[in-house]
Amino acid sequence: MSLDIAKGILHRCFRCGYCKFTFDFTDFNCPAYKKYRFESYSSGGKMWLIWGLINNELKMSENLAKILYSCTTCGNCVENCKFEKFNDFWVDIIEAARAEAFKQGFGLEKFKTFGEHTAKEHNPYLESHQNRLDWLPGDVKMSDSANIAYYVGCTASYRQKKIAQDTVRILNRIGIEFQLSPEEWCCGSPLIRTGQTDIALEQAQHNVMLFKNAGIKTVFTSCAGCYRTLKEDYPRKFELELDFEVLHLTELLERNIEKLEFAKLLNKTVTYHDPCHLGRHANLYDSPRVILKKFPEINFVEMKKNRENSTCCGAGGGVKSGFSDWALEQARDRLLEAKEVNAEILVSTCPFCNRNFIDAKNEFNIDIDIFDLTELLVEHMK
Amino acid sequence: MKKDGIIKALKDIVGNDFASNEPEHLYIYSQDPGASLPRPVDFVVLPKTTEELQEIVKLANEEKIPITPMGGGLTLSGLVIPVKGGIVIDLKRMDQIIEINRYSRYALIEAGVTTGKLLSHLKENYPDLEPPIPDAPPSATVAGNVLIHGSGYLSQKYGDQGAMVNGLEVVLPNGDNAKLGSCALSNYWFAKGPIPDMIGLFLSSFGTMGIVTKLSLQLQPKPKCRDIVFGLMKDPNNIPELLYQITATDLAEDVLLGMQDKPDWMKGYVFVMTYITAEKKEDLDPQVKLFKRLYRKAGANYMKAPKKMQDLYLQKPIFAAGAADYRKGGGFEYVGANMPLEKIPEAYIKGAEVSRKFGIPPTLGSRLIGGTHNIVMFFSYSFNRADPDDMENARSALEETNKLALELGGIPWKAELGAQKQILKKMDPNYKKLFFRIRNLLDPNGIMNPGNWEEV
Repeated sequence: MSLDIAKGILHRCFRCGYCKFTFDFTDFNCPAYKKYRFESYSSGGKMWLIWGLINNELKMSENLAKILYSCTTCGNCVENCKFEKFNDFWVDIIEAARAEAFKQGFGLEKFKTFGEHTAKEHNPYLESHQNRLDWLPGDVKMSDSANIAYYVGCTASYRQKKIAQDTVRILNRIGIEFQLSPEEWCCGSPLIRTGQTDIALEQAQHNVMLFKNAGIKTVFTSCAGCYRTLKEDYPRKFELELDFEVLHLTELLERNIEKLEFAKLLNKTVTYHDPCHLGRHANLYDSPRVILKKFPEINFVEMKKNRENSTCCGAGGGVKSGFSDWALEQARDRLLEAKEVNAEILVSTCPFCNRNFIDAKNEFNIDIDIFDLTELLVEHMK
Repeated sequence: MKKDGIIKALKDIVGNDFASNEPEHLYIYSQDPGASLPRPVDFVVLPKTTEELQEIVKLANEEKIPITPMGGGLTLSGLVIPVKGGIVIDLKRMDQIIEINRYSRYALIEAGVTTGKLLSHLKENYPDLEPPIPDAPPSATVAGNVLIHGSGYLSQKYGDQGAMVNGLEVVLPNGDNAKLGSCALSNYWFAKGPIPDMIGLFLSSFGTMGIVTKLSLQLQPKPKCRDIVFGLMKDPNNIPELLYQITATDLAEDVLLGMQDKPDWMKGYVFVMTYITAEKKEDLDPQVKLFKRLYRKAGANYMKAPKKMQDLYLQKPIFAAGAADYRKGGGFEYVGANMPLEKIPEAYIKGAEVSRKFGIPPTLGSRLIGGTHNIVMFFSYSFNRADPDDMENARSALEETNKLALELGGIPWKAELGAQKQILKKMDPNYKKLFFRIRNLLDPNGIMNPGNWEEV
């Protein structure tokens, strides 16, 4: 969505404030409003600021860019705004305004750096593209003739490598044939979220062609951000035609649930954190829970804020990069919510959430174990 | 002191993160969701404690800077947009529920507690108690609604929310902190008196007398079951008798009336909605029968409420903000006017005429407050925020409606500047004199939301 198109609907925001809350109003659930407390930081406040920008009542500025970039794009506003055919577009409008910030030279320096790097090396982590598959263990079986492809994504390729390694091990154990490509590029998510859509489009077009040329019918990801981007942004934002279905790993595993056999009991209290890009953005809540509940002897508990009401981990929308201390504070608060229900383990299904939780655990010395679901599966499966 | 010095002083009081004079924040605080034109703001500050607020008020007094307190900012009538610039004090960081007293049935809260927060806190921790709830989004503050004599759920039975206040803590214009009500001499915020009652000075005075930091609000027992009995009547002249009979049963928790052109089947009718309660579901049935009979006698027909409508009106809070999206324009404002019941038929008939004159589909409603002693009438005008002419049209409709309300013997509620002036023009001169004398005594420098309740 461009700001020109946004102009046609932006005035519908009444600034009633439902977007700040959880469903039951127990807490503010808009991360930026909860932190900064100026009305300007609420989702409605941002809509009005963008309206002011479009109508030349405000100029783009460092402070306006900061307000726009404080949004984790968690989608709580989308869930809680009650104005139909408007509420779907909140995140799109924020992203369009961020694109305008970039255009006018107010993109955050860190974002510019990873954007430029991604244009050349196809990852935002300032790593070399040729090292993309360094994580891949030598003993993993893959099949060039498989029509299922694992899209690994940048975080699991370069940072949370264990998630990628555990993902392929799980597939080997349950006998699902797949392939992956050293030529996959960044999905574009960090670029879209921070307003660098031109570079994101290049990445997206490349990835779509890559899968098309390989005759892929199903692409699965182990990353919530990649999943949302491939599944939602490619067809909707970039109008790319996908010849393949996009699944999250947990959906693929749920389809093969009878093949998951366990060798060890999990005698622990476990809770699940819904990554925003999987939950609120893509409405995928059940598959991870179905799998978790298969673990023998697991004591699965929900946190008070779960599913559509989930608290954001704090890493999304460029916040981990742009506001790193605050991203950690948010992850800390979420871990404390897990502690409130006596969870010993917090599981997520997003490498980015996982990274932020581990960082917060270490920074604030919180006694809880953090696992990606893949890691927990590998430890407990036959 | 120059602006640089003032912002520094404000930041020294509340910390760097909670005071600003950056244009983006000033832009947002210079307007509200109603139809008022924006008015400039110089500073925004968000105190966390009463002590911080006292320091801010003292600073404003020394520097003679206007201050405008703000809660949820949802009156729609521009009461939190400064008239003469200065500092907007956003109180929403003062958001602690200090005490729920179960036996004396009150909530002691800070001024920034939202209705949503209080509602959910009680639901979780005191499920047998409930607060009065305005017909406003959950981001409206409890204090904000109390301080404008707001109405809502439970108003028919217990009066407006101003009537449900047991006590206030107020920062006065000189920075003093005063406790009003039983809390002035007791640890229990259980009653207004029996001591000279000064709480009323701070209600509907829109921050011109002081800034409320804490308040005690009466809570009520929560019935286990609730339903609505819906009816339609063709002739608004039947309203007074119908409401007289409904309230005589002593069974109605709330009573709402409305007239609107959409959906089509409601056009030309006034609907009535009586909220009934019981401990057991089956105990609701005889009440429904009783009200059916009563409706018929008073010229109204019982009708089973459509599910969508039932859901809408039984949810708490009612999604009143939906009116803003009625024409997909993002805006609405209404004249709320407290009126004597006998003038309500005329209010419906003439209110609809005003709406039509301004080309806005009539959307009228009313809610009983404390039996038939008082009824608040809503004349609602939706507008397109993107169209300045449409907003101007809404403002004109509001102005004319305020005039109508006063002509009918009513009083515009949470009156915007134009309505305040109309009220003052009509007000008994000695009431006015007394009000201005007290105000000048408390606020000799005229820093408290100046421009409000002022004659030209």
